[in-house]
Amino acid sequence: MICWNCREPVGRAVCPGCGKLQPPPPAQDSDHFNLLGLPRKWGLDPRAVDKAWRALTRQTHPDRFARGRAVEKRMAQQWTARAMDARDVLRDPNRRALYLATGQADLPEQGGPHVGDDFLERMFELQMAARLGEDGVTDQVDALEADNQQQIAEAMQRFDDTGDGLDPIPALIARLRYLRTARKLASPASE
Amino acid sequence: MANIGIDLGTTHSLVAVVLGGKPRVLLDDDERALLPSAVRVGDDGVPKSVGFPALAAAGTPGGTTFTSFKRFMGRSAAEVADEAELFRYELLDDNDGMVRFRVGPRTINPLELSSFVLRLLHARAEECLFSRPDGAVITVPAYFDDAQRQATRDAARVAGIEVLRLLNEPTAAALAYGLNTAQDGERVAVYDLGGGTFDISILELSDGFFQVLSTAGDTQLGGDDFDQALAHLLLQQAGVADADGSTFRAAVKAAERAKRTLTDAENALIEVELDGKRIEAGLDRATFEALIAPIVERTRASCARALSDAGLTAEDIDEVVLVGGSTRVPLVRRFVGEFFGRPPHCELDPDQVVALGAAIQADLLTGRSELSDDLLLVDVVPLSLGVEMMGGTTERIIPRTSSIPASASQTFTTHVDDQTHVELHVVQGEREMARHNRSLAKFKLGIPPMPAGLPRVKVSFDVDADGILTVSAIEEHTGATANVDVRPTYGLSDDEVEQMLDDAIDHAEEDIDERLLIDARVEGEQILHSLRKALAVDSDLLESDEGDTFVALANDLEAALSGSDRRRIQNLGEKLDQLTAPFAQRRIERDLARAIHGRMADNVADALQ
Repeated sequence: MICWNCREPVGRAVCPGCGKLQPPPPAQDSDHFNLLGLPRKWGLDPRAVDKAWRALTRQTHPDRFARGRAVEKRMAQQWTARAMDARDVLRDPNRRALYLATGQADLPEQGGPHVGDDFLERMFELQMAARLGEDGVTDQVDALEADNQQQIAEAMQRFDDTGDGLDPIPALIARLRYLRTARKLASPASE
Repeated sequence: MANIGIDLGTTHSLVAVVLGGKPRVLLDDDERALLPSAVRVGDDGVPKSVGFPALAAAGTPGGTTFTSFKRFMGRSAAEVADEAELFRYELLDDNDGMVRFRVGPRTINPLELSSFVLRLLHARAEECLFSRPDGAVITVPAYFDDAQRQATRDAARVAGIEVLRLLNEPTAAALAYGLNTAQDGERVAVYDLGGGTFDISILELSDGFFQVLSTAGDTQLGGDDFDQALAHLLLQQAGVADADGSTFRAAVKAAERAKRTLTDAENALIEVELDGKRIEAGLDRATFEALIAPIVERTRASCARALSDAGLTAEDIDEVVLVGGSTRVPLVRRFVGEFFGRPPHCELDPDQVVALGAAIQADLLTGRSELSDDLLLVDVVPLSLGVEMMGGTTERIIPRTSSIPASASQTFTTHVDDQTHVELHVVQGEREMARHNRSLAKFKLGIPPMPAGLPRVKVSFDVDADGILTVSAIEEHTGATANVDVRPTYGLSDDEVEQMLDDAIDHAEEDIDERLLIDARVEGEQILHSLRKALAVDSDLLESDEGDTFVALANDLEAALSGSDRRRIQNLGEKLDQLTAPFAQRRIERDLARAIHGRMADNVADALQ
């Protein structure tokens, strides 16, 4: 990249030569990891994410350009909004997993991956039990969720080690939504 | 030269600036910090006075004194009809536009009223600083929606002030406290109960970032409601069933006095004449508290929601800060103490703390702040922003408490074959049905006819650091675009703001020359006054023959002031202003040097204790 102001080469948000803010990289060329300068893996410390986000935002926040030109202010806003979004996604282990697997941090409102017939059947039974007010539904949901979380962690660990193993992730993440619904039915007051 | 911070409040407003590394509230000629947010408009529709004189004239014939107009900012007539009734203002019948008050043959809107207050504060700063401030940070209640923020920014534009940032009041207060007291990792709750608005915000200080975690509140709840409740009681006791404007005002005034007395005293004596009946009654604190308890209680839900939005409980809060004059009421302090389980901070004057924080942020925005070069404030969107969907439901695009600046987009499609446009309705609020939320804007995006479900309309929302929204839409197959600066449905377009600037002059067409002459004289006198004061105090800073030049020009100006040649007064004033600029600069530098020196002496004293 070449600085738009002083024509010196730059590799970061702010030109080291003239101190001008550079335009943020196009979204397709720079994912959340790249934007914050973090390794593309699941095993990230949320504190490291925060630290990287702060380091970038400190340079690019619109407050730093309160008297700057309109174009600089606009770029500052874009940088900062992108960095916020990246931070929010990467701090959350499940969103981070889905993002690595699909490039999207959230599942679509409707449709989405198939969660498996066995799982669906199990959910149907659980939700029925919840509606009928049977005891112990919450405990079963807890157990299923812990198991699901375990599977996510194992798959993602495999990904970090080998670069493979992302295939089951969308379905595992989609299951969380069903589990949440079952939990809500079992104990309406907790939500 | 300097950026100022302005607290544009419901009942009073202030201006502050950082000087010599310390935020200071600027005083008027009578050493008063608070400027009543009151504007007197004559029966001829021409504004007569602002601040104390406007307040003093309230209830006298010849015009209307407007107060609490902040409550009407960015609102439609329909939304505030009840409120207008409360204040006995006459609203214009037109229900689609923003609120306008009728005064004699003309109308005036809350935005214009606010701009008079802003202009006066800006002039005060200019006088105190010996130079025109560069820009201003203006505070707004955290819970102000997009329309209310726009209205505030437009009021500043009408007043000729460059707005560097709109800052949420509780965030400003936290900044004023936090800079001195908060430790890294601490969480601060700010409880802000003003004259007309209530806000609660939770902030966290971490690694130089002062981040708002959540905010909640009620833009129509404040100390005014205490006064109103007590006034109704007084009227009831006096047997006045249908109070007219002046009777009601008298009751409110008496109520407010009693409220203030009861801050320190256990009993207040109320003496007031209502509708020809003289009332003398004692009021004890318990009775007053029973009366206002339901109003104070209304703040509880907001406090609980702010905590839950931040994912915290009351025990996680390290400090509680009180802001707003209404937090002087003992019942309010007890409520806050009980809710958070710790005594609240109130070392700083609750009336001044917001302005002090605004001054700090204004100073940080200079980029060469003496206070801190590394502190960054990150605020949030108070209310979700979204669009109306088929069937009238709300689709959230930017959820509330998202950090700002924020951007998000969502893709929609059509439900009918061969639609030639998509209509987008932008709303703000948490309700499921769009019609229950605040309507911000409606716009159409033209698209080529396609089968239902085929068009891909990507709608992007961008919220800037002031919390103000811009929306754009693009049909991805064809590239058709629409960009809207979200001008609130009940707000003003850019053209309207320009028009208002023009109107401000047109309105007074008949006496325009006279008014301009008066303005020029007032300004000339101010220049003369501050120059003579400066010459008396700092004459040793004059270089070569500067003194003689200044005195000669000042004498010319004085002579011109008694004449009626407006241009001559203005020219001489401007010339004097320009020529004395280097002298003013030297004076400020010396003042700063003194302030810094004074501070160092204090530090040495502290170290020796």
